[in-house]
Amino acid sequence: MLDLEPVIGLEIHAQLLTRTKLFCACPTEFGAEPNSNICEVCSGQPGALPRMNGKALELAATAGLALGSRVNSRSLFSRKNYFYPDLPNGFQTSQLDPPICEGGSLSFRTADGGTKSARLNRVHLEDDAGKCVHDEKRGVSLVDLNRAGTPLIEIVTEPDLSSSYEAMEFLKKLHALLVFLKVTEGRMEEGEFRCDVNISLRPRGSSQLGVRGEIKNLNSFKFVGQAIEYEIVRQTALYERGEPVLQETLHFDSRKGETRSLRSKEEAHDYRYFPQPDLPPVVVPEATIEALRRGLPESPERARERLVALGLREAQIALLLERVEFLEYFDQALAQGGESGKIASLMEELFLPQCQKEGISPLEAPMKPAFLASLAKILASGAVGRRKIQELFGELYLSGRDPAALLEAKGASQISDEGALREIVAGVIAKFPQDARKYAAGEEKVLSFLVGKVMKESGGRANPQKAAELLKAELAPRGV
Amino acid sequence: MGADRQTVLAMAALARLDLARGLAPEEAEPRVAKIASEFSQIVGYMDILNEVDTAGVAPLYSPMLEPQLPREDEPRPRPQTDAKAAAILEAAPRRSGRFFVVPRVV
Amino acid sequence: MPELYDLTLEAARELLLKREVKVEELVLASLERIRVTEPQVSACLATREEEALELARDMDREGPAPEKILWGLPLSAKDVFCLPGTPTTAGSRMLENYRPTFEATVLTKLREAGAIIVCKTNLDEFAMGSTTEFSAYKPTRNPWNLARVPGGSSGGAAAGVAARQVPGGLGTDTGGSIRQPAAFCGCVGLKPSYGRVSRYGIVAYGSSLDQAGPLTRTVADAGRILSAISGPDGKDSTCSNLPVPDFVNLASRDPRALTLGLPPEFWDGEFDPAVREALDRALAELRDAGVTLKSVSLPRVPYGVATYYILASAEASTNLARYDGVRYGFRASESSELAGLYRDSRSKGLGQEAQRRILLGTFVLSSGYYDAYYKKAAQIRRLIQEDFVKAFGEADFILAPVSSIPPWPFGAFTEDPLTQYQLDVMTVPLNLAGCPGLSLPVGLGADGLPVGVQLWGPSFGEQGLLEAGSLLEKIFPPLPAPPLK
Repeated sequence: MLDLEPVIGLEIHAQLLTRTKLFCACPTEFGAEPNSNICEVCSGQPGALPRMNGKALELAATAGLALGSRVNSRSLFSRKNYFYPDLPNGFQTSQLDPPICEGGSLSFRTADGGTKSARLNRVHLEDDAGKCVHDEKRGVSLVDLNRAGTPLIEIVTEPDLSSSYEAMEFLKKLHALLVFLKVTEGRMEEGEFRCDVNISLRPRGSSQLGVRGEIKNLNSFKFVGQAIEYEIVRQTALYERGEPVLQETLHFDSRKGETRSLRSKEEAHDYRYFPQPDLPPVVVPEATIEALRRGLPESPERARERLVALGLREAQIALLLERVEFLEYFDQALAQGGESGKIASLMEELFLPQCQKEGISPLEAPMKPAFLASLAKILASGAVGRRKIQELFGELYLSGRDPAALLEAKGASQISDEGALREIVAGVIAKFPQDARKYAAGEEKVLSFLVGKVMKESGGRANPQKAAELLKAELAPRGV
Repeated sequence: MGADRQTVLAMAALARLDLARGLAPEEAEPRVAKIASEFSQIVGYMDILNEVDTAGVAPLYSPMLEPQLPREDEPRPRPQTDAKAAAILEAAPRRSGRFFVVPRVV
Repeated sequence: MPELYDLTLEAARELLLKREVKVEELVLASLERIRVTEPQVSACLATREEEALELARDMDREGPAPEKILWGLPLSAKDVFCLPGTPTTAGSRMLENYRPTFEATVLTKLREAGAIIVCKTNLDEFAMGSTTEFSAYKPTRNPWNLARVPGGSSGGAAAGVAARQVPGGLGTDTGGSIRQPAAFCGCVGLKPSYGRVSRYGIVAYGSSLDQAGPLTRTVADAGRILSAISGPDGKDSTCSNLPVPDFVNLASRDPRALTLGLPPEFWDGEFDPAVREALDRALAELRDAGVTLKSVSLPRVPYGVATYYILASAEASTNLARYDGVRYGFRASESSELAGLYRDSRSKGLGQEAQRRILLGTFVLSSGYYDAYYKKAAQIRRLIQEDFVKAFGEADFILAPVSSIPPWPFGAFTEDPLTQYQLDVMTVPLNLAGCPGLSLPVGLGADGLPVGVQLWGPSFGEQGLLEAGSLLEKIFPPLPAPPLK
């Protein structure tokens, strides 16, 4: 039996997290009514012209920088010509030569626990096509152009992967990184992160590449794994029978778990790439590239080491590394002097779910990191029980104020133990003997000053009415 | 250089053109032959460019020398997009609800 | 007083601002002139009677707005400019019922300058041609001789201006489509520098070559329209951000301080005797006026036609890929298969010349031919541009003929596409270089047909070009009205 090794390269398409499309000001929101986010540009009307979205360019460069790619200060868009109903202009606008980023690599964990690095060929910008829905009954297809013109980056690896496991690990790592960096939302079920797999076999040890099949449009890690496994078996069988492997485009049928040919080489497209005359070169000054590089957050690997050292649980670490703004929020709260474990657990259990419910980024939430830190301190001090905090969290989150004050107003932080409160009251009287005497002498207005001191001493947790009662009781017998 | 009848038909297929559309078979062949002959004459003429030495010359794809200025990532107001979408859908030769309709693609 | 329709933009403006003529009267005169001359020249594809008159009456009510440099003036627009509410056909069956959903930036600018678009003018389909014979609707006739072509592709615009239907029109020039019909019909035509004017909303032919510009009866009028349409446009990434100089108040130039370069590649070629005679007379008059004429070579322009047809067709082949019958335009309804829908809609909706250029463009971009044709042509384009830069170091402007032959009879070249392409040799190099050019009449030939010359200037040098053009105009005064019934 032949000893064959798979050679695998990936082409990953990630939808960039922008508000508008790549070449027009239509929104990119998902799930809108069909053809409601379209205009003359993205529907290919005569005379319409593209204008590039600066944010998309920035995100593509950011992705490249995080992947160790070289950002080209000059790149160019080309037209890739083919006919399809979801392609309104009859061409896709993509970057052929030079792309925005070249080179780079990403390391990932291998099955034996080691690490391996896959080289990247390039990262380039392009626009997405629309969607066709097929109406079997009527024998027609329905075209929705909402997605047409949505910005994508295509990340092309070198053929450095050699198993389905490696491909999946690489993809998971890449996905996590791009989502962490807010380059993409990465919702795979919505096609925001999808992958083409190029796979060929060759005798182990050979340096030549075999004829490859290209499996198109896989939108889950599992399918990538299954499709590769199936192709290895299929291509191995061909080799063993001495039949040629055809260079072809394949579709993976996830229900049957098999690949099938979409079109063979004879009907291959001739894309007739040429420089898009409607778009002059993209120029990114060195200073801008440098600024983007400086603005890159700490890498998830480094952040992980730090979080591990803080003693956080794995689930918490994973959560904080999901999005750069989760980590930023955590770090800002931590800087206020809160306890890391409490901050992390509050974020995990209450704060982030609330943000998600509201659909906003943590850093834009009314509950500022300082407030969450304050809440963590309250929790740590045991002054307010976890259940009480849980119960009042919605309100605390929305108040936009320090939770201590609100909890106090709610009486939530009331020190129920009269003994403890009596101790604070005694302390205040000892600290302000003159004022105490004034009150005892009948200067009633001094009481509010003393109550204030009790509140301060209690960290705002004393019930002011009760404090006043206790003060009156303490000072009354001494009155003359 | 290589611009024969076969080439012309291949280009027509790539460009989704039927050069003999609507013609009877006996008219179709002369029509295609005529187009192919004109085409090969034109392409033959283009070969005069080989007289020019272009070694090391950077292609000029456009006289526009200023780089593109990126646009702000700001959606246009919703009512404007709604109006545009409505007008575009209105012009569709074949429509089903809010979809454009084509013969089944798969 | 002359007939209202005979007035230039400048003359009409004066009367409008002094309120001696109402906008409505001027628009009515234009519409009436269209009605009278249209059966002879067939310059228009659509008129906008109601909209134009309504606009005119509103303007009369509000009174003159002198800050608007085209206030109340009727103009035509070639039918490639998207104008909501009016069909925009690009001269093609494909867009027979197409009503744009947005306005071309140049039309917005004209509107904001106070102009009133009274009609959409005829053209070769998708601006591909030099006679208007490739219009899917009708050919336009040359007002000087109705049996002759008006030139193209902006033939409707040129014929309409010459026939006094309007004092000015907006055309587009991809390889000569403003300058050549202007010369054939005896009017002034200006192709601005690539990037001077926004292309947004202009049905695209060759995207790296297309440029909109005015056709008028005087150089000053061309400057006035150019002033209105020039400038940056946030919707067109190929539109320059350079500031726009004043094209309305032009300095006058001393002929003795003017040096014109005459490329021997053009002037030493073969000409029709009537054209040759008119051109020679023009050169003599220029010399008499004190203008310095010298030979300045553009060694690579003989390759212009091949270069141009490769690049323009390549761009056209993909610009026209959007015409598939799915979202708008003509749709052949018979087919129940996608491939058939495409093939039938495109083959029936697009005319023979458009199809020819699509085939050619597809070919030069296809795998195996790209380097030999497309890339080679792009390299030669660079060399041609370098020729221009060098020439402008030797002369202020280049003076070139527009056509070696006079407007020809209909059908003369429709069966000989290569020869017709080769006739563009004197106009296409300018578009390849991206420089501005002004075409103006130098008189009538012995055959009674107009003969024109073109002045070429350095990139974004329209102001100097217009100044030099005004000087030439004093030597070669505008032609009288053509002998229409």
